[in-house]
Amino acid sequence: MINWPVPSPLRRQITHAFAGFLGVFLTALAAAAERSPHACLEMLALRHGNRDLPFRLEDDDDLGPRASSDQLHVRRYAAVSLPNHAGRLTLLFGAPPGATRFAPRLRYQLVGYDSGWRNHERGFMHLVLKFRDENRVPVSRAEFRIRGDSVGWTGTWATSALSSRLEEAVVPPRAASLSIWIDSGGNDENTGVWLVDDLAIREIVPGAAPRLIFSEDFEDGRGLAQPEGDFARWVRDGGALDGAVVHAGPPATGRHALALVESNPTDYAAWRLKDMHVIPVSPGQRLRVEWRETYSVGRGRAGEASYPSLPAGQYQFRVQEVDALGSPAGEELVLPVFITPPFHHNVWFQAAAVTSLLLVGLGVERSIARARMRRQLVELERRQVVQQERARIARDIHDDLGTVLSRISMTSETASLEAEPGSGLHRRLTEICEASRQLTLTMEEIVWAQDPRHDSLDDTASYFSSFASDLLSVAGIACRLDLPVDLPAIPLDAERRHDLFRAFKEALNNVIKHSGATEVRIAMHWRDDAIALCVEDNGRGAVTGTGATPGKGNGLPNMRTRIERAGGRVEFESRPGEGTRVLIVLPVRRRSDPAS
Amino acid sequence: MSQTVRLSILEDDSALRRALSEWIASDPRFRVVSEHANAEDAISSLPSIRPDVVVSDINLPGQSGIDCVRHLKPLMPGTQFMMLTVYDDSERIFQALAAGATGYLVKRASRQELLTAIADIHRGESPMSSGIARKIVQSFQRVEPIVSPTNKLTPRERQVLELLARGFLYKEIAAQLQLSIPTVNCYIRSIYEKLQVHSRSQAVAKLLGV
Repeated sequence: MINWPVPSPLRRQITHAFAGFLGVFLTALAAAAERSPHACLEMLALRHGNRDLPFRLEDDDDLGPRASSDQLHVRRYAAVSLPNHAGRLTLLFGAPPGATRFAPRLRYQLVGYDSGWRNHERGFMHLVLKFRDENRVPVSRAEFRIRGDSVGWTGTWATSALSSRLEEAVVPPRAASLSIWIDSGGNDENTGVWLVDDLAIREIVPGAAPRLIFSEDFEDGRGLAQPEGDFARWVRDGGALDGAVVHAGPPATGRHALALVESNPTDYAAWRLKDMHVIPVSPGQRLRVEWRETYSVGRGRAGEASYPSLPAGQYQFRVQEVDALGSPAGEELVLPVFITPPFHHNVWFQAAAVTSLLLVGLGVERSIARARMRRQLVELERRQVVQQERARIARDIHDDLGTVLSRISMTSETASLEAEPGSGLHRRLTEICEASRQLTLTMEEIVWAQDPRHDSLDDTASYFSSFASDLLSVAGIACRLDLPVDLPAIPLDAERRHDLFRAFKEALNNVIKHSGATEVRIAMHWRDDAIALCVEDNGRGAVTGTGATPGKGNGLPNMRTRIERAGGRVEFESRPGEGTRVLIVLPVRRRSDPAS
Repeated sequence: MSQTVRLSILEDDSALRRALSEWIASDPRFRVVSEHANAEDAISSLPSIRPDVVVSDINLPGQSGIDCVRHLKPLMPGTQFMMLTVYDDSERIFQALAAGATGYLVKRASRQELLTAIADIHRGESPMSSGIARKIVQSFQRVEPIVSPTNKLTPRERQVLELLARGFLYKEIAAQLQLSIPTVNCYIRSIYEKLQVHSRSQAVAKLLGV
């Protein structure tokens, strides 16, 4: 070591940092030196957030010769301590570089977080439908995967239960034949066991029962009592031929079943349909593929586990080497992980934080209140501007367009008086006159609804009463109004007023056109949150309680849509000979309510 | 009507004014004695012309038709003011009636309707829609400040007004109250007159801060 003549705080820090670095370096060297020559399972990397962390082997009971074959050799690592705010924890494990042996299959769990052992999620096996054209050139494939453990898997063949699997595929264009592959996956590291029985393919025929085009119960073959026996229609494939086996006994549904027992993490095993037994198909066929199975699938050689931000606490990360069926075999590693609580869980810190938060909160509260007042003021101004704009538009329509329309109706009528009665000119001038009057009426309704001076229930009542009595007196129908004189100052905005008016008009027109009534009663009532408008006639009524006079169009569906869109409802009551009653209920907002 | 009815027209749109003038002049019962394009001109000229009926637009540049009636009616109580309006706006019509008008008509009315309305108003008959009646009921229901008993509505007038507000037509009111139609008309004219006095006293009360 270099001797510093005058130690200073800075130098001391440098010394510590150097010593720390040296420590990690020496630990890594030591770990490498201590590595067991036949180890196939070690921690390879530990990452927290985006930071690689050092870890150290503490105890390796595999340094000596193995005591017995069924004993696990546990490799313990020194506990690592992490603050819990650094994010995701990722652990890489598996065979170290230069290893001579690979774990056939690995399982892991974070004790304290995971509820049990986990298979490697990326491990899978699959049943593949391979479609070929007439020249046996591959066209397309459909793949059905299995992962983890099947529902009925118990850890051994004998007690496991088969589950049914049902998949569908469509024969692609140009396909002429179909071959089936059952293999241990496109990735060599996939390992585990898979038992398949009672495989069938049916064509789905619209309007008829599915047509069976292929079925296999795996009872036809030679030497089926032995794992290396041969099925009549199937052949082994892949680099790990001994992984494709014949299974005899439970849980096979007959005496035998097809199975993959894959423990080679560097190659794959497969059963495939012999070429002479491929299934003829034609493009566009819809196929239903069914089979029964049980499985336990994982991954060997190396793996990776990853956890999101963990709550503070003590955990233990464990990885086990297992055989193809998932039973412990060989090696295990253990790494304790301590997640320390963040500083803000400290009591004194909390007390100080609460105090300062209270102080800051008071300030923030006040400025929020000020901001809210400002916002309300702006909103009020905005609403006022909109109101003024609406008033201006209404006024312009009232003054300018209205005057022009009056001019058209008056001058066209004057002209028609000069034209010879009964002549074409007279008729056309009268039509112009009528059209402009009609337009004035329509505009009157629009202007009435738009002008904010009419934004009250009271004005609405006055308008409705004049409108109804005019309309009904022309039709020769008596009009009886029950509109309270002392309606409260409930605001009724343009949209609602328009909706209500249109519905009201529809109800009145309905009476005039279809009811044959001699009297109509119109009532308006209000509650705190709604107004009700009732139009009741003494006409012939409807046969059913849902429409107007049968066979005649009416505006009721329109009315209902319009009112329901505004949050209200329309009730319709009618009996033959007893008239019709339409009740329109519309929610309103009191003036004291906050602006919406 | 032995004598010709003398009419003045107050309308700012020249085409409308001409059409109104032609329509009215085409009826031998009526004679147009003056035409005015704005309220200021009417206010200065009409007191000396003293027509029987003034047909006035409500919406005018400068002072409105309502202002004009409010100014002229006290000066010429024998003249009837009939307001013309593009839209059936009960609030504005009510204001005009409270200012002293005794009739109103929408501009989309036909020539025949206009002539009938003028003849009616001159004869002492006034239209009153249910919406207007409703507003008058409201107006009389408001706190009455210093109204003399003579300006209060009589029970009969109140009945007529309430029936109107409930949608009854004149003839239905006559049948209901066992009156003649001219009597009903009489009540209505009386209601209009009391409304004017009432509105004026309300306005005064407002000015005095009562």
